[in-house]
Amino acid sequence: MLDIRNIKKSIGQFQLGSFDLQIAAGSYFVLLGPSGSGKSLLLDLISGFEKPDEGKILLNGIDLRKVQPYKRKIGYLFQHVMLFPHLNVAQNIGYAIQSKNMSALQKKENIKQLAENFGIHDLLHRKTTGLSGGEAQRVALARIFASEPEILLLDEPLSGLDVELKSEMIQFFKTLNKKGLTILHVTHDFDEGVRLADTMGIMHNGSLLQTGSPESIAQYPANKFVAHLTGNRNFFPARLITKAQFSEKFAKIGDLEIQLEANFPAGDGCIFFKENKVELYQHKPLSFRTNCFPAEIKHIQKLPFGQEILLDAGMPIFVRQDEKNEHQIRHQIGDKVWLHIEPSDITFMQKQL
Amino acid sequence: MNKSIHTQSLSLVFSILGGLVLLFVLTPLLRLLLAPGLHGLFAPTKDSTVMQSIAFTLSTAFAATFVSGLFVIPLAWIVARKQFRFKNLLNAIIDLPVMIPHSAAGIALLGLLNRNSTVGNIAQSIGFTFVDTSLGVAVAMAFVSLPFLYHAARDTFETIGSGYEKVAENLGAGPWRVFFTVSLPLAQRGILSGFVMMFGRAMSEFGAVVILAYHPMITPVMIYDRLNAYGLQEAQRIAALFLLISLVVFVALRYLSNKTAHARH
Repeated sequence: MLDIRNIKKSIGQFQLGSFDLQIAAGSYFVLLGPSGSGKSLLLDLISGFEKPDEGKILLNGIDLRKVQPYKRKIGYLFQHVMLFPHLNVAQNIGYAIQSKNMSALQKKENIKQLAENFGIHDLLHRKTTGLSGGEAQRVALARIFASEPEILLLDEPLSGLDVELKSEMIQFFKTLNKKGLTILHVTHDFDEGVRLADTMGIMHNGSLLQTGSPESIAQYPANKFVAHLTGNRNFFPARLITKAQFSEKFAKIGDLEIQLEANFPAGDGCIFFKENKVELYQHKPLSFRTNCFPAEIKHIQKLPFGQEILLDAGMPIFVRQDEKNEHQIRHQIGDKVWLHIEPSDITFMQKQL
Repeated sequence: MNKSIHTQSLSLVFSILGGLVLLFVLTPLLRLLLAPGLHGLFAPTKDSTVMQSIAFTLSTAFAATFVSGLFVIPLAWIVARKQFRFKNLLNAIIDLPVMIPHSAAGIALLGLLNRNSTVGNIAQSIGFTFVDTSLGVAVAMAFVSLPFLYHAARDTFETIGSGYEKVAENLGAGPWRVFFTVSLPLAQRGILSGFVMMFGRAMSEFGAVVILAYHPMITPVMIYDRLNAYGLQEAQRIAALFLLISLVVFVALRYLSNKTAHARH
């Protein structure tokens, strides 16, 4: 288990932490955040290339502050895999075991075994320069495994790989994790996180904003930033109000009053709703009592399967339509439309964290 | 169309200016090589003092370069990797020997290392004498030429960056192993190129050496000596032979250093 306690680090104007983070043994933890949020700095702190100003990091109960980086047994796959260009593939894989007390034959066998495990046994005598992105990454992973790490840190391991290779490597990382290896994977891509993580953490400006399962984070984003990062752009601060003739509460955003399904206690908070839950009509639909608002189409973005529409309804609202909906009404920029959101599709959170 | 004409005229003018530079460098050297004629060029090879002097110059320059490397390369690595106060000042100090007149460098060394100075005295008591010794020649050569090796090594370490060293450390290698198995082999090309530059500068040094150690006579000093004693023609012969041998050694070393570096990469 990796246990990060009250960690804090300042570099120039940038400050990381302080925060706590626990990564259970055998779990696949994805740390999600835009570039410059401090993810890689956290990896450097864990692996010992940076020293924390405050706090401590424990790996399986051992305080890493007293352990030199080269004795930490933390595998670190850097964003650029950096195979040693002066060594061939076999020598790269064998780098960690060269100084170990074992016979030359044993070392050779070890390298061969690792190469087979990572499907690169036919590359052993190749130079590192002609390798493809996927091959280089496998060689780098085999090289890390030769050092028998207790945890694997992955820094944006899928960026720069083509789609096919990406899904191949995702499978590969999952398999490694299933064999019991704890993985801390850093990325800026939410979809990548969803496909891999059993637990996820969101970082922004050096702070750890939220941790939880990918589903819970997508469903209950802690704030607007997390909502946007997880693809929920219809996220608004709101004030709960009561209205005569209605037992349900309404969320007031500017001039809009949006009815909620559940009866929350009054107070400030946030609402958000999925982009595909917003329905569009050319004329005001008479079948709904509430949650119908006039809007103007400001932008239309074609997507591989459908389109995304930006509406101005006094606040910017994003609508995602699949191909079926798209053909029902052919919208154009500048069109006046009506939108409707079902109260049951709206999530309200009491207070923005 | 207009742009193309302008580009062409620019290239033409620049090529002519560049050609003039090349002529400026090559003409005196070619004149020197061709002046004695083929027979005259190799005549000094029969003079054993000349041949001994050339061998002494080359071997001392090599020793000065090699021994300097043991100190300069670690310094270059430290400066490239670590952040510390007065780093720029340190760089400026290392550059000083190149900036000052070499005769001044020789005077500075003579002032410090002569037999009557404190340092010279202490050195002599443990068996080291600098004035008019091979050691003095090597020290003077190293003093004025080590910035070439320092710059080449430091720039190479900086260009490579610390990424590979971090990878090696993460794989369980301690700092010494990281340096000898990763930092040094990766910087090999730049360091070898620095060695060649320093060696070339060391073997052609005159100003600092002539003041600290007139004897044993290195070839540049001998050329000057023969010019004074026997005139231009005699000096020209030795200069031409030394130039030829220097060129051969220089080209061979460049070729070898490139070949080794290519083999590594």
